[in-house]
This record gives sequence, C-alpha cells and structure tokens, in this order.
Amino acid sequence: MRSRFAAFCLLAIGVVFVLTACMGQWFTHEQKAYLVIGAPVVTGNHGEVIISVVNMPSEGAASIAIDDEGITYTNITGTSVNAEGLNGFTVLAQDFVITPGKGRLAAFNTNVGITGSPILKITFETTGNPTFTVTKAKVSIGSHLNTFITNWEPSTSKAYYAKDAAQERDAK
Amino acid sequence: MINRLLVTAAVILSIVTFSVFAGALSGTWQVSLSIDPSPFSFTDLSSTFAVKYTVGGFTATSDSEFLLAGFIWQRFDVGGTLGAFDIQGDLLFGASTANFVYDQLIITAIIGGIDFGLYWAQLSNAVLSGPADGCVLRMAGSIGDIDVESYFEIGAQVEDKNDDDFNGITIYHASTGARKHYATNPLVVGHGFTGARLIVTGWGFGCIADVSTTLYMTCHGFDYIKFALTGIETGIEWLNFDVDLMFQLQTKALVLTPTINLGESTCIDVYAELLSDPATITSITGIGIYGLGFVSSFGNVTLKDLCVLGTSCYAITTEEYGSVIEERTDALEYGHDFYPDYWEMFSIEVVGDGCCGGSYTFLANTYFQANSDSLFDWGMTHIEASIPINSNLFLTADVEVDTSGLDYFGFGVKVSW
Repeated sequence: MRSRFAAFCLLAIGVVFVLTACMGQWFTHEQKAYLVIGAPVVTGNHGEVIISVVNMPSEGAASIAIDDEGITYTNITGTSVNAEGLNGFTVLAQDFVITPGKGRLAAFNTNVGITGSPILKITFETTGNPTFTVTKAKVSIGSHLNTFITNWEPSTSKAYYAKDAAQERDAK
Repeated sequence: MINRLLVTAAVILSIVTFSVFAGALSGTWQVSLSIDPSPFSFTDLSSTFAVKYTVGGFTATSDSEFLLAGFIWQRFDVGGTLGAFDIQGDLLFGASTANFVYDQLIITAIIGGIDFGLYWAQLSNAVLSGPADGCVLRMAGSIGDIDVESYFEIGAQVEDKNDDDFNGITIYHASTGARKHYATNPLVVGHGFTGARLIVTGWGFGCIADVSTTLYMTCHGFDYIKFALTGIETGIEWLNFDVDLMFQLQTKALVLTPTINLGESTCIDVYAELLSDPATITSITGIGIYGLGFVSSFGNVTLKDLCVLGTSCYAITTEEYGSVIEERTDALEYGHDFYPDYWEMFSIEVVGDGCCGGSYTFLANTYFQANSDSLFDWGMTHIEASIPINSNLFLTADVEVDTSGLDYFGFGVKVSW
C-alpha cells in the first residue's frame, strides 16, 4: 500500500512537472560542428598532432579528404610524416612533401560515424618549433549517411572539447 | 592570468591542507614511461598522483595527471554521507591552460520508498561546445515488480546505461586525446525546462518476459514514446525476439532483433549472431559465427585464445579493456580501444603471491594478422609484468614487438601509502 502510494505520488509529480514546465523562453541555437587541430606535442625531435571532430551531424563523420596543400607545416621533416587513423578510421592514402611543407590524405571509417573524438594522429620528426595548419577550403568531410558535412569550422583555439555535449533534439 | 592563479592557489591549498592532516592521508603515485627505440623517442609518459583524505564520513581526493604534453588534468572529488543524503562532488581543471573545465554535484537520498537524485553540472567556456549548465531531478520507485523512473531535465541530461541516447559527457584534451567521463551532461543550448523522461519497466504479459516503456517530452512538446519488448519466445528454444517500437509525431519505427541462445558452453565459447537480409529484415538468412574463445586455468596460469572471424564488424579490445571480442561500433561508442588489424590472440597470464606482499602478474599476448609475411601470420606480441617490491611498491614493465621490430618498451613505478 505504501509503495503504491509512493509510486502514485511519483507519477503525479512527473505529470505535473511535464504539464506545467513548457511555458516558453527556451530559445535555442544551433551547435556548430568542428574539426579540431590539436597543438603539436613535441618530445625531443619527435612530434605528433591529433585531429578530432566535435558535434558532427548526420550520425557523425565517416570520411575525410584533405586535398593537396590542405595541410601545411614548417620545421617538420616531410619524409618522416605519417598519418594514422584513430577510433576506427583507416587512412587510405597520404602524401607529404618537405619543400614546401604540405600534405594531403584520405581516410574513412566503414563501421560507424564519429560525432566527437579523435580520428587522426599525425606523427613526424621536427627540426625546431613545428607549426601545423589545416585549410578548411581544402577539407571535405563525409557523414555516416553518405552526405557531405558542410556546416563546420576548424578549431585550434581551445585545448579541450566535449563529446556528447547534449543539444536539444532539432535545435533551432 | 586569473585562471592560472586560481588553479595554482587550489593546488597549493590542497597540498597544504593535506599536509596539515597528513596522518589521515592515503594515496598513490603511478608513473610510466614508454620509449620507441627507433628512432629514439618517448612515445608515452603518464604520471598520476592521487591523494585521499577521509574525515567525518567524507573522502576528498586530489588527482593530478601528467602526460607527454605536460600537466593535463587536475581533479578534485569529494564523496560521503550526510544524514540520509549521499553526496558526490567532482571538479575538473584543465591544467595545461589553467582553466576550470567542468564540475558536477550529485545528491541522492531514499525518502518514503522513493529514490531521489539531484544532478547538477556546468561546463566551462574554456571547452569547445561550452559553456553550459543545468540540472536533473531523478525519482524512482516500485509498485510490486514494476519499476517507475522519472527524469526531470532542467538544462541537463544524466547518463542512462540502458539508453544509448543518454551517454553522460566525455571531455577530451585536444592535443593528446586524453579524456574524462562524467554522468551529468549540461545542455549546451538549454535553459529552463528542457525535457522530462518517464520510464516504466518490469511488467510483462503472456509470453513476453519484460516490457519497458519510455515517454520523452521536451520543451517543444512530445518527442517520442518507446516500447521495448525483450525476450519474446518463439517456441524454438534457441530463438527469441526483441522488439523496439518508437512513435514520434510523424513517424513510427519498428526494430525487430532476433537473438540466438546457444546455451552454456563447456570448453569453447562460440560467438554467434543471427543474420538477416538488410533489404528484408523480417527474414533470417542464417547464423553467423563471428568468433571463438577458449579459456583454461591451471593453478595460477591462465591460457586464453580468442579468434575473430568477422573482422569487419568485430575486434579484440586492448589489454586495458580486458582483451575481449567486441563489436567495433560498441567499442567506439563506449571508448574502448581495440586492435583493428589482428584476428587472433593467444594469451598466457600468470598471477601469484609476491615475496614481500602484494601479488605479481605476468601477461604475454601474441596476435596474428591476415596477410603477414611472418611465421604463422604473426603480427605482434605484447608483454607486461608487475612485480611487488613490498605491499606498497610495485614495479611494472611492458614491451611490444611487431613485424617491424621492437615497437616500444616501457617501465613504471606504483607507490601507495
């Protein structure tokens, strides 16, 4: 009897909350998707850069193509550069040259789209303080639904990002 | 600058506080270093310094984590009981930029047979996707065998291990991929009431063992109602069905999942799934065996063999995640690292009592890959060992050798007091 009363109260409170709560003033805005280029981590003459995606729509990013000169760098030995897929991504092709420091690659994930986490690790030998840049105009990202994801921005400014930072469904 | 001062002050304050009450302190320091010999480079450095202080039923923890990129995380946690209330607080700083990153407060209590939970969290503007803040009120109770659970969301969501849409929040360090996971996920775009979820589970009728109903309302109105029917018996002993039926405003989705029950195995585990034609999901086209497993123990020695036959969808997780066969999509969803290129693992593990307290462990995993030029398609061998010097001091070592030679070797120390 006591548990029934408790459950009844529980349901009643829940219904009251639902019915009374939607009273407006909950304006939402769209959360952008990002391609995050991590700052180079250097130990001795060895370095690496992590590339991640954040808030990717359409069930997540499943492919990425970076065209020639989409990646540019300085103080990196071009012949030592190697791209490796993370979290299910596989690097199909890659090409890096030393003068001028530039590169291109293509990678994909057959199993799942990645909404937010690292997708690529690029390792290299460095001759000094390395710089590593990705040009948005030369990058194409494909979704798990086989559509292009176009509404994204590159990000290098923040050291941390959140996966599954919840958005309301159909945020407007 | 203010952030750096605050983080520095917080660290100094915690050290001073812990020093003053040193008698009640306990903690661990764990450090490991991995080296790639060719070309010589440090591939991994991890140093975790954790200090616990317990007083009055509460335990406070300071956890500092250093990686190759530097001082990455500084965490402060506190947990304990105050009367009828269980209280847990978590505070995370991004030490590399001296920024506050995230905090959450969880208060739970059982009052009049109802579980109450208040989850509150905020995400800093220093995090891409931030800032955000919000809270969730959770209530749960039972009527006989029926469980009723209600989440009232005010700008946040709480992790629900039974629902893939509610995963909590994972915060990454962009340069290293290092991550921290928490249960309370503040809504980036939410203010005020954002959603209410009512879940009723545990009721069944007829041949249906368990029916679960989930109603989700958002501030935009009705979002969905979902019925999950599990364990529908077919009359065939090894064949059951799960049914997920979801109604949204303009759509209705039905997912039928046949499940196979092979019973208890005595020696070799068979990993199998029912296959269906994606074009006509109502027809079962066969039984796919995607893996085989064998485990046997002799004294303190355990032999284990895992064989993945369906490598396109399944893989063996790394040692850190238990060396099990897992679907790749699940591994990616839950952040479990796996070996994408190896289809078989043979493992020997030895665990025994050390000479001076604690226990020693030795693990050797050998992996095989397709299309390798080496003997038996050998791909890689991973060896790790932990040896106690005394009950509070452990030495660790690990080495990996693959087809290109010595991949890395590492060593570490774990001290506790």
